[in-house]
Amino acid sequence: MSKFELKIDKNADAAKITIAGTIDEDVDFNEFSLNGINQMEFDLNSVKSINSCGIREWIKWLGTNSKAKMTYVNCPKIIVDQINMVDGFLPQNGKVLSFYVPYYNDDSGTEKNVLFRHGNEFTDGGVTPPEKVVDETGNAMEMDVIESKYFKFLSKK
Amino acid sequence: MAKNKILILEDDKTLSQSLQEALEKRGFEVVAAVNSEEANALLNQHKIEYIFVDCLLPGVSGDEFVIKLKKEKADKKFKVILMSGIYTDKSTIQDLLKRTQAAAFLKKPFDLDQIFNIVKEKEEVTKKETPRKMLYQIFSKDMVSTREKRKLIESIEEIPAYDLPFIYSLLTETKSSGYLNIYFNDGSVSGIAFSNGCIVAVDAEDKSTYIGELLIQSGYVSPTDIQKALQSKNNQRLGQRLISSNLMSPHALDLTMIEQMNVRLSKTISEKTVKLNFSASEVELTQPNIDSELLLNYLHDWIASKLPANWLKNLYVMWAGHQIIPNAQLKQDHPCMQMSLVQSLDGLLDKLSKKTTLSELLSVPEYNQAALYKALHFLVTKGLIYFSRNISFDNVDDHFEYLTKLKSQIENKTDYDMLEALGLTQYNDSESAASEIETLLGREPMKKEEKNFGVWYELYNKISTAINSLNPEAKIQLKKASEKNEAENRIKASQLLDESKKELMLSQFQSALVKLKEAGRLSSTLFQYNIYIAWARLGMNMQKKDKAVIKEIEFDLMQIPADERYDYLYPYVMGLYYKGTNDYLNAKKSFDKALAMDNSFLAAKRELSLIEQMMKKTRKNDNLFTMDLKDVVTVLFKKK
Repeated sequence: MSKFELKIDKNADAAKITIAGTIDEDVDFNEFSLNGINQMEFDLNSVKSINSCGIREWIKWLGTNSKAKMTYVNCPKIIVDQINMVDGFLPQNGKVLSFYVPYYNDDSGTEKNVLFRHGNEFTDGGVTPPEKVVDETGNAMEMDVIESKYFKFLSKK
Repeated sequence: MAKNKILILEDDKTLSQSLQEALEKRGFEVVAAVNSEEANALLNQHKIEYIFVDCLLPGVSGDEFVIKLKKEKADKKFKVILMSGIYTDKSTIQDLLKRTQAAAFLKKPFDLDQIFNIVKEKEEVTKKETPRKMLYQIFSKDMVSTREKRKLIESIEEIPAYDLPFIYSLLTETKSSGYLNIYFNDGSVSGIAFSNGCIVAVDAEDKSTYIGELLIQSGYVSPTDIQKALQSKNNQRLGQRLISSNLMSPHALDLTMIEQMNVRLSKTISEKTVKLNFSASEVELTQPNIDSELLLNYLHDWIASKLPANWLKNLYVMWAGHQIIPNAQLKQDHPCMQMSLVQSLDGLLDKLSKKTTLSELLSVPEYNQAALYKALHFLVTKGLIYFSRNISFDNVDDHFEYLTKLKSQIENKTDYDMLEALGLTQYNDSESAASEIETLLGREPMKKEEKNFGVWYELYNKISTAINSLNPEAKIQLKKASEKNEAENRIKASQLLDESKKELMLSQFQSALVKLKEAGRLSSTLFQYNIYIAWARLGMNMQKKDKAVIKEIEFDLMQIPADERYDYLYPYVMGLYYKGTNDYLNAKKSFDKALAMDNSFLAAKRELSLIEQMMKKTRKNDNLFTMDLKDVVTVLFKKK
């Protein structure tokens, strides 16, 4: 199981919070106080999985400082799924700045995650996927998600 | 009318025939014509999606035929593919494509792959089945990759929580590791951790542990032991305290914790709708866990006890005429075949081996329909049987009989209720539902004079009209009305259940049974319903001990879910059942358990006292192995 790691880099009243591994019942967010931080950027690039206990703990933890402005960057699919399905996983005042979209090539079976960035591949209004995504050998890849479901969170805000 | 049909207009019969065979093997319906007259007739009879037209036809040329056709049948949507071995130069082909608006041009001789590439894209769209239907077809595949599982679970927007046993089985059978998160509409989230196909943890927001009740009912500890353990001053959980106080073994705690997981899993299975997310991940294989062998028993238990027969009936209506195909593993000695549901249906394996249909099985008079639906669902869930993709009948008479039955099932229903019963409410126009309707009705009869022709079209039109007449807003209103009606019925049913409880306490079994049957008709999701109905039936049957009634009672008992068993009532009713089958020893144990759960339960005290008297009377005939130690000593050593 991938070990949970959390790092907070504070800079005045802002902080960059980097999270890695599995978010589950063993994670004690109480150890990481969010008090006094007005602006937080969560880098979720290395989150491997999250279970139901982890989801509840996450929402509870963010609720300890609900007034802060929060942004999520480098969200892997597992995080995007939670944002889409669980109210409060991304707080009301939260915003996704970048997230990964899985791509797949049917013939070679290769998978690849492509980072969509706010202002480039998506905006608050919609998604503009890259014109072509290819795997290492140059094969064209297709988006491997149900778009209406996966990008749902963009229309929530 | 059927979708996905192809018309071949080709005067070369050999080429036409081989093309037809190749396309039919790929699941297309193909009709062929040798001239434009025949083609026109076929176009009037069928809904054609693709026309393969030879450019050089006798009489009217292929391109002229297409131009005329497009003008005359401007309302019809079909794609034209031109074929020629003569016109092969680029400019002619471009001109032909432009004039005919054809989708493609094939130079003869052509490779079949070229044909399949043209129709492939369309095939994928038209052959696409609803995600839930795909869910129930997944076991027809030899191998299911993690990606396929993920994609399938992802594709399901929302499912009834009654589908969860299937999802649990799917993840277990495919040795998955990761977290299955279940999102309920009220915002709560439950989660199940899988490690190599074993369930290692079940997390639910409802934190009721049942651990005390589970331990007492399993007979591992007494209420006094629990009281003692709770008095000890430490922060350990109850189970650990009992172990520390030498009141219970660690093994007993493991078994109880497994049962606790079962109760929690059982609670996830309900009439609610849920969203799912499976995140594949490395999960440590911890003890205790539910492995595939144990899950088999639980699956049987959940399907028997949690899934209402009416829900299963609606689920399988679309498969009723499809052949049931047994998997090679389905043999008499397979553990699934030993399960009570399957055992209650005599000769089921033989019937399944003969590739029967659900419709045929439902007409077996000695089969209890609820048990049949549940047994088949259990076998489907274990991947031991699956339904053929296409509906097929050996002859016109069978198809006619099936359609007539279907017609009678939907005859008195409103449009909305009919579509709900047929699982077609999600469609807003009959065009998009066409392939689903055909799956339900079977192949469109080709000849007017065939017996099944009239009823097929009658049903097709009735369903299509219903789909087209209900706009999404109307459906939402009807759904709300149906939910309101359901909620009102549930309230009425709960009141009847309460009244019958009082009557049962007063041994007024006949009247209680009438009320319970009415309650069951009004709602299929009443807490402890089957416990009460078994109690009423047992009370009425106590003197006669009718075997047929005992069988019915056994089915009632089988339908009591794990999460309804851990209070005084379940062991009390089990005690009555054992008493009814003259198993006094187990009856006594059960009444003891009921009293251990609630010492003030008078009915159990009364029954216990009666059983003890009965046991005394029969003790003379008892054998040494079942006697109390005191009696053994008396028998062996008393003075002659």
